[in-house]
Amino acid sequence: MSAAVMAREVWVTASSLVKGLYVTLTNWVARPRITLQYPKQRPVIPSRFHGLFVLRADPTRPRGTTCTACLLCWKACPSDVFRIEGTGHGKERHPTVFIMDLSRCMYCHLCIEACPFDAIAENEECEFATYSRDDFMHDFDLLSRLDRPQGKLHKELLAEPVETPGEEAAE
Amino acid sequence: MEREGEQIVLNVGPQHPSTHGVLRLLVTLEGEVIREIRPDIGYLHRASEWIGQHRPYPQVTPYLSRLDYVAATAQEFAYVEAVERLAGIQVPRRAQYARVILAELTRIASHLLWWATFGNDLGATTVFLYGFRERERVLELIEFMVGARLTHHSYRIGGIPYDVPAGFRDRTLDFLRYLRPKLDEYDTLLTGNKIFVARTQDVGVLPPDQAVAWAVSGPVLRGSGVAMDIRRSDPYSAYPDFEFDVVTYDGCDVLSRYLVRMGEIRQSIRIIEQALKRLPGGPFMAKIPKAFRGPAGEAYGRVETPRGDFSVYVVGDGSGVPVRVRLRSPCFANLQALPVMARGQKVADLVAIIGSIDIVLGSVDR
Amino acid sequence: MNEAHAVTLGEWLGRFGLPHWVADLLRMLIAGVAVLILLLLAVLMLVWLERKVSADIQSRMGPARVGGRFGILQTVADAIKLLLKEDIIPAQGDRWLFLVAPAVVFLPAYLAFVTVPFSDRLKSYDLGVGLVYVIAVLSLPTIGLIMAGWGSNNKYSLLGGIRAVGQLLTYEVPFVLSLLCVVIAAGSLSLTKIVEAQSKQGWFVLHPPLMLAFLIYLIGGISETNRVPFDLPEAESELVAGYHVEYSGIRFAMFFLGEYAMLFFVCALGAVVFLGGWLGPWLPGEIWFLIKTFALVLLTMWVRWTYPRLRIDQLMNFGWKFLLPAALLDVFLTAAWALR
Repeated sequence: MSAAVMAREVWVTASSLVKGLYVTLTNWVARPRITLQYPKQRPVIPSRFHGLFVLRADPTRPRGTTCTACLLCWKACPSDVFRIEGTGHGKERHPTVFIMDLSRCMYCHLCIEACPFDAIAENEECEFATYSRDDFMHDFDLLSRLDRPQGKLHKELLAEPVETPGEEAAE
Repeated sequence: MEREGEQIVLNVGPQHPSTHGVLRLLVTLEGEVIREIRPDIGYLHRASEWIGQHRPYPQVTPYLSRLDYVAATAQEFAYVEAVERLAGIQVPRRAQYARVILAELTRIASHLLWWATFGNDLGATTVFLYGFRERERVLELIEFMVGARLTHHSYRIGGIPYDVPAGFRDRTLDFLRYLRPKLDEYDTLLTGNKIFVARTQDVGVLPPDQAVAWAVSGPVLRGSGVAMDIRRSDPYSAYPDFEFDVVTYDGCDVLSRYLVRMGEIRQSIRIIEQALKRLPGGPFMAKIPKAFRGPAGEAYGRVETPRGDFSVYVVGDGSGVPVRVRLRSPCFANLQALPVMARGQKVADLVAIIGSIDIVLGSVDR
Repeated sequence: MNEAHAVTLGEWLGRFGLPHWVADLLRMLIAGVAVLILLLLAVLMLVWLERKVSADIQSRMGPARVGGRFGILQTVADAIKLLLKEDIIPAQGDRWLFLVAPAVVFLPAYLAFVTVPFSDRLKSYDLGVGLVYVIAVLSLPTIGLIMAGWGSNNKYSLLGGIRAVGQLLTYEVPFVLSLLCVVIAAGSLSLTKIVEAQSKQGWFVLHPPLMLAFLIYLIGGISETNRVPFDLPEAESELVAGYHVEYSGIRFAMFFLGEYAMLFFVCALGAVVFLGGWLGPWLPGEIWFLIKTFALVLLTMWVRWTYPRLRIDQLMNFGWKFLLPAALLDVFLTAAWALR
């Protein structure tokens, strides 16, 4: 290899290495740190988040819940999460047993879309690590507790403002 | 270090930082040179095809996110394309544009993750953090639109579950504006770096005829000079509306595949910008019965995922459950070309070669 | 320890009417322990610094909980954790080699560090042939690597150990030649005299031929300490930690300690022979020494977190075909410069 070619090789190599150092230097001194100091700082959870489940309350109905044990969520679920037993007829129908096995759930949202009464909703809870598997069986009392974040109803989510058509959209 | 007949078998994996999942490779080494590789897969097999054949059509979709979990929308895209073809469903334009936007965002996220892990495998740990830093922003966008970050179930048969939320366009365009100069920075950091080029040039060569013979697809194929992209050759959904280049390089080595993927990120940015500018109004979901029963027949849905050609072959018999769901995975086919690429290379190159194929074991094993 | 103090220490000890050899022994013991403590503290600090520097480059925060907002006690917490871990020794490996290897990796750095002068008043032992002793001792950690590689009964470790040998042989020679340039410029092998020569001639790194020597020294130094881009023996993502993959608990900590001790030593030596050691205005010599050492440490960390690693044959290629001729050329250039 001639000296000129070798010199050029050396120059290209050296300058590429120095430029790489410059990139890391800019990140070192000029870019912000993006770490969220959890648990003091928490991430912002959007409204459509697939979190934990709540059974919506309706004080006028039996057992205080909107749910009529129609079993449509159970039918829609791919993962066999629900165990539901209901009693009563017509408007008085309500669940006696309603257990969700969250260790099986894959948070696919199909149950919420299937419910005709918007009785089940997903809230923004995402921190539910526990020490025992039994804690993953969420029963009726836990699901309908009013002190948990209630999330948004499916119809509320559908009614949220949507993005406008683009400026170059063809009609 | 070559002595005749002195061969050792090195067991790489299933637990190994660089095999991108639970992949076991039986590598026969002579000194530092690879003589033979036998991949041993199946550690992540979850019977996805069986599940597909025992669930009603709408319930199969979430399982498909979990195949190639890095680019989750792509698998769902193929499946819903197949089912919609089977049932003759017309998806509204707005939904198609939204699907394309999600698919291209996922492509960017997937390539960023690939870039991050590739740099990490080669020793540049900082690259790992940078890639994930940008990918984090994509995941936030997807979370804003769909509600989940990784395995999102963002497609339904007939459209998308929720409309594009207000503010999505501004946030996405902000992100794309932020990303473009970052890509130039990363080119300086890694692509132009002589050490990196020395590690990746003329390594893991896959000649174009071999690539076609082994049914390789995606960036691996385009890195060998074969300009084949399903979005261009067999267009689906709204892709005919968009202008983009099919990025191809002739080098047939790891560096070419790397450059193909970096080019694809830029093309994805182009597509998303066009889609956002031209986003039509209208419904986001076709009118389909709540209890969907597909007709009898068969259909094939084919999609260009970040890793290659993912296809779903659906056979229905009129009941609500598919008779056959066959999943054709790109990573499975691409992995078969690994021995061809790796024979005669050094063991330190093995990591670079596996990284350049970009496999995700969820897709290989299904 | 301190030249002035050594005299007083010896005198002070001599007042007890101790035999001469006992006083000498005590003096050496005290000096040795003091340097060891200094080295260990420096290593603890370096581990923390590495984590913080890497975090800053990567837009993260690094240790931020243990010991206040800057996580200063993080290393201590990690060391305690490592001490509490189960001690696993491979049954089929060579037990003696396995057990002794970490010490062989750590001790040479300490042995060499004893001769480094911190200032004109503070040095523990000024060897007339300082540099030769240092170079001899610096080759020893690699033997520890091979011992660990073989004694672990693990193919990955073995590969790591073999790579380490090749790497050491390749980069030792240019490294030594760059130090030879310094010796030519200073006219002495003693570290103290080298710094004194710099007080008359200015810092050696500013002499044109020695700039190249400095660069070669840095490259050789990064290679000696097995850091990226030369960290093949322990290439994390390829060999799953290479030669120390089978080590756990405190033995692993010793390897870590050894690596950082070597790094600190190489940077300290570089500061002494190229950057003028303790020379500098206003501030006391010890502070200048520390500043210069840490500047080099930061430089090596910056390099580590930027580049991918070289493959072994590329590394050897670069070392033999490029660095060695450059180092030889530089020796001639330095000699010509010194004779002008």
